[in-house]
Amino acid sequence: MPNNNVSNMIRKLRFENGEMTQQELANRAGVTRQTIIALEAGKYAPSLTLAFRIARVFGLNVEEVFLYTQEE
Amino acid sequence: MNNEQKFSWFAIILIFICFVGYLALVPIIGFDRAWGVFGLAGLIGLPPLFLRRKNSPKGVSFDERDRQIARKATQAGGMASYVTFVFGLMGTWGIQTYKGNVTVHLDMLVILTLLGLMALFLVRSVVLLVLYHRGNSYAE
Repeated sequence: MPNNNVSNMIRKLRFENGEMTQQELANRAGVTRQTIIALEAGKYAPSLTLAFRIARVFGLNVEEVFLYTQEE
Repeated sequence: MNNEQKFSWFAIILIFICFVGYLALVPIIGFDRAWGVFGLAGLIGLPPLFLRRKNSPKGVSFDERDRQIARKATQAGGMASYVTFVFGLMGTWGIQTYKGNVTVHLDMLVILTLLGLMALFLVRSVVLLVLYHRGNSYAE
């Protein structure tokens, strides 16, 4: 069975966007700060809706924030 | 710490108190009467009365990840409860049949039901806290 991984650039993008705090991003994306922490640590794969919301906060497309890799 | 985590700690501590209380009372009032201390486990139903779900001033307090964790923890708790109850029932049936008993004392059914429910809350609470802890290692 292939191993699916979703990584992201959230941490990098936060710092590139005026050193946005995790709480500020959480508020703008409509989630808890704990979820942002888990996302940055790669311990949570967001729903499609949340991925779009986070990408929209940074003014980017989903593919520019989240990276999908499939390992055989 | 959100309400689910608070509820989990409450359940774990309460179940721990029940078991410690039981072990402490057994030498004093005996095995059968000491079971009464497990009545305290009924307090597990109270937290929804004082843990109201409300959004914090800073933002949301419960999101999709919380729902996912709660669902996984509830599934684990449900499985633990089922396993405890079924093994308990079949174990009781096996032992009593081996002894040649036709009837089983009502206490046994009460204890098995109680243990099954406690397994549900205990495992759910532990799994929930572990899942939350796993995602919180990189907090700033």
